[in-house]
Amino acid sequence: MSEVRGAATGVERVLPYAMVFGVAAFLLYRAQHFEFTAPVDQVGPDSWPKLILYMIMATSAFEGARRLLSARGVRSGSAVVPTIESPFEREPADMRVVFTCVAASLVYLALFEIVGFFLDTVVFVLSLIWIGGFRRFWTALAISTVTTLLFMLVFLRVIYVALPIGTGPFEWLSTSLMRLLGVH
Amino acid sequence: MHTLQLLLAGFAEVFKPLELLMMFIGLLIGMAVSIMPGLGLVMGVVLALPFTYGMALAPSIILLTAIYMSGTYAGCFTAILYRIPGEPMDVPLLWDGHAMTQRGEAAKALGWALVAALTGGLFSTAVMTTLATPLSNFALKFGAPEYFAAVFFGLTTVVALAGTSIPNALISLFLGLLVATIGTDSTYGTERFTFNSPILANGVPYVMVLVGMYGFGEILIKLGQSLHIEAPAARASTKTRFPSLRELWELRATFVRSTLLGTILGVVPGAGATITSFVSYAIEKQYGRRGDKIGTGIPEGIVAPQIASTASVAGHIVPLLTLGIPGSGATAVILAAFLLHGVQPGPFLFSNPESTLVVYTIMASMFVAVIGMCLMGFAWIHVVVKVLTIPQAVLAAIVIMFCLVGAFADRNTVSDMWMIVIFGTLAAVFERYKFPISPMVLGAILGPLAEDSYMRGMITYHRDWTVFFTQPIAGSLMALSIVSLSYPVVKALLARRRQTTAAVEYPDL
Repeated sequence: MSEVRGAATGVERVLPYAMVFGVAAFLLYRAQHFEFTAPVDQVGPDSWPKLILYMIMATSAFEGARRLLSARGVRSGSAVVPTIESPFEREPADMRVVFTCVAASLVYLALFEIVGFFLDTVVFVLSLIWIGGFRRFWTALAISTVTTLLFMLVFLRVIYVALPIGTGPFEWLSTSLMRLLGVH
Repeated sequence: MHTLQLLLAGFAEVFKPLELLMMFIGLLIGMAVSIMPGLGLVMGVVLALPFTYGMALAPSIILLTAIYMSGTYAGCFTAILYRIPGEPMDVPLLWDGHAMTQRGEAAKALGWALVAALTGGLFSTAVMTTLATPLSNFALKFGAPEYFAAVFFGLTTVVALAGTSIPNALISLFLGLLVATIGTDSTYGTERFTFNSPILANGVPYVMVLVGMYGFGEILIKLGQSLHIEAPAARASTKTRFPSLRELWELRATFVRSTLLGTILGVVPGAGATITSFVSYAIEKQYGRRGDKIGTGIPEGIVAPQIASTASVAGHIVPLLTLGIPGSGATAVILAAFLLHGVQPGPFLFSNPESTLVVYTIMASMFVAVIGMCLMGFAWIHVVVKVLTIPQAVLAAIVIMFCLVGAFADRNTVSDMWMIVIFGTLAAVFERYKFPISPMVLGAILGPLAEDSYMRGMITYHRDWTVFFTQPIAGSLMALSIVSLSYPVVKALLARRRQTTAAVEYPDL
């Protein structure tokens, strides 16, 4: 498994459980400080979240410990490894590509209201097509421009959603385009 | 009013222009997304969700249900003709379907798939339509403990069938339930886990979890997997040839077995079309008259999985309508559409004539959808399979845009788009560490219902938690939940014991 591209290895096998446990412990601390007034014989709004958090901590501690023991070569005869054969097994994803795509999305969202929907989306769609491995630039640019215009048309004229027009010169560009699309 | 009368009234509604148009569009979308590897029917309903915001309830649900229904069928074309499974549920169709194609029997294989989808879809819809009113009457007896137990049962079966390790599935589920607690608590008005953020004060809309994890996240994973699909080697004919009556009669046992299995498994939360399809194929291989020949290109290998996957649709829809509990990703999106229209599915839907008509309109639409998808598959599939020629990178970019702009359209706020990216990234991380996504999504959707019934139960019975186990219906459902959770553990223990015994008896092996 460790030789498969993108598969979890070594410390990574235990890390997620430690992180989940840590986050749950922090949230449990927060849950102890919810402000409310409940009758003495009744459960408060912290009851349900605390129950969930205890379950998360117990499950992640169990699984983390089991993986730690099995990683150290201890025979895990006493531990139950309840796995199910699944038709959903698939090739692991290359996380570098995934995070490049996430980074592109974050930049897109950060600029969404500044640059406006049109320009921001054209560049974003173009970058996604590029990340996806499509390398014909002019075709990709044409596709991203047409796709963005179609999105604008559908969302502005069919679903009636006000898309951001941006600020400064971007606002002028967006409003000109919207005029062309018949949106006033 | 009698079920049949209600159903006829439903048919009258379905044949109105807008409803019919939505069904047509839904069937087309369902076909297109299900033959495209990397999309899938859940993605189809997720992407169509924003377009339902401005529609009335009935056409919205008809659109989504039609996508769901035809999504279980159209994948058979690419699986049988090109050996490209559009969805995991189509994988069993490869083995026998494509083997028949290689022998020059593609038209016949497609004919068997069509008859199977038609039979499974119609039978299961008829059974579920008949059971809808009795089920809703039964559900009316549910108090808080029973509702909690029903939701608990749904969630535990999702965990048990999530297709990965049970601890990972449990953590995923608990995280989903935890996400649902963010925001202002409905009983006491207390802010929970909001960190003084006004965005979080209203909670995390489960639509964002749903679209983020099933839509955006799925595409991130596909991009990470290089979006590799093999292009069809040659243009195969999409012509369909129906089996003769004699051939159908010979496979009667397979038809009956798979239809019943698909319908029953459909009701089980978590057992989506994929699991149903695989189980039906395995059962046919084990108990079928020609089980030993399954995999070599015989019709039973097409009929069994195809019937079961299409039959599972009605099996999933009716518990959603009568109990308000979705058992699969697609029904979770349909639940979201109901809630976005201010309607809570459940037994009370049957208590007023207007909403009862909506329910039976949806059921009638399922009958029409089954027939419609078969007709469209028969006549137009050669047009629909052309989506395979769209570059995957372009398709991925378009889907991501649908997810983001669709999220923005819900409340006109960029914060919802941020949530999509956060949950999408989480889905990719889940995939890497083999945490299943479905339990988290269903946890986020059912969390408020679970908490509400838990709180009501605890308040009504003065903190006596045994009430969830001692009431007859609730206790039975809790017992079933424990069985469903224990089953994979017991199975793993038995497998290990067998391995240990074999190692002791045959140390040289």
